[in-house]
Amino acid sequence: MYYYVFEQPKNKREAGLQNRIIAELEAENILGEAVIANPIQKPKELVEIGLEKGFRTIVLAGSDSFVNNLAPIIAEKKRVVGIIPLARESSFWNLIGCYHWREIIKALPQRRTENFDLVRLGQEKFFLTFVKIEDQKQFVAFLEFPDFKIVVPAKTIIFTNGGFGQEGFVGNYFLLKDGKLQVLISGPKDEKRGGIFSFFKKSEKVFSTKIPTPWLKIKTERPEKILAPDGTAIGQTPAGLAVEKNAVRIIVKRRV
Amino acid sequence: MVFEPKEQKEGQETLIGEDVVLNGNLKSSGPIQINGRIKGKVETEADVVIGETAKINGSVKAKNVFINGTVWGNIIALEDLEVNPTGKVFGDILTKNLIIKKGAVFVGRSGMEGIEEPKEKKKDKKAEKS
Repeated sequence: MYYYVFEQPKNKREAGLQNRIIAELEAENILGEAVIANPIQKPKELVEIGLEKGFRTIVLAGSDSFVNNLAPIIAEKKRVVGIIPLARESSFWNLIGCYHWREIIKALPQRRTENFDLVRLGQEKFFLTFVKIEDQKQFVAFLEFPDFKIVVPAKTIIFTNGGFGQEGFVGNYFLLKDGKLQVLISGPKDEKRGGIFSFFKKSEKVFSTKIPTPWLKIKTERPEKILAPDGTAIGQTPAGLAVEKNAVRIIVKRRV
Repeated sequence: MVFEPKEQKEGQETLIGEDVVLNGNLKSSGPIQINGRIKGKVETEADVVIGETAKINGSVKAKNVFINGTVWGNIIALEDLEVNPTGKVFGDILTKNLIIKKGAVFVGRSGMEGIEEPKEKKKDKKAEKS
């Protein structure tokens, strides 16, 4: 039996979609227990309740930030994560190999799982897709990699666990399992260049520097906020990031 | 829809932007493109493209090397080495196939891996000496 945690719906359309998903899960006899986050019961609390109840699989239904924040909590307890993205442009579709929530509902009972990398930010924070540093003003970043150091003026730096994200680059499934994260740097000169096209939309940014690495340390001339995909600050520079290989087990569609 | 991911055969691409100053050794299993400044060795099992704005102080070793910028150091290209019109090399090079385009600068010695001097010519040289 699975434990489903739904993100608090932002509007009527999302609430309707959640109801349709719950109805379909019931019809397929794979509902288990479903809870919807609300102002009183935060998503993290609901996940912890599910873990305490002993559910081996926790299914997260919501935005990318919602999944990014909660998946590491489940991974830490060595339980399996199911994902039902609620946004069409979610970076998780590629990862799970489905392109519609109905496909995921068919895939869930098959319980085919794969391990993916997580990125540790500092000592306590983790993320599955990406985080970024973005500043209207140019800043100078000092980055230390295993074999070299770089100094670079930047306006945006993205730390991504394998090209997944909503910043105009399409995810590469294998990069999520290669034990490396990618650092993408966009500087002041890059803004003048044209954007790059992706499957979903045109990015306004060009990343002239791209470095794959298992870990790195970053310092900036002034403290810069490290932002989650939805813009919430989850840390600040100086910071260290490192990949934890195969740290999270996720239900995916059977790959042929 | 059938989802069929294709396995990555070589490592990820590394790009070093124009504004980057890198100190240390850049090693990779994937292709590398350099447009910034590097003080240290560059080494990969794949190709290296050195852009017009690139300045490298150190040796370069790769499968194929394409030079449009400046390199102060020795270069080993296991397959092809191409110095384009904007390229400048101050160091020794060793490769199987060498292409130096018009306008390129090359100051150093060159060697071709796997190629021996023809025997007849060696005999001629001995004859000349005697």
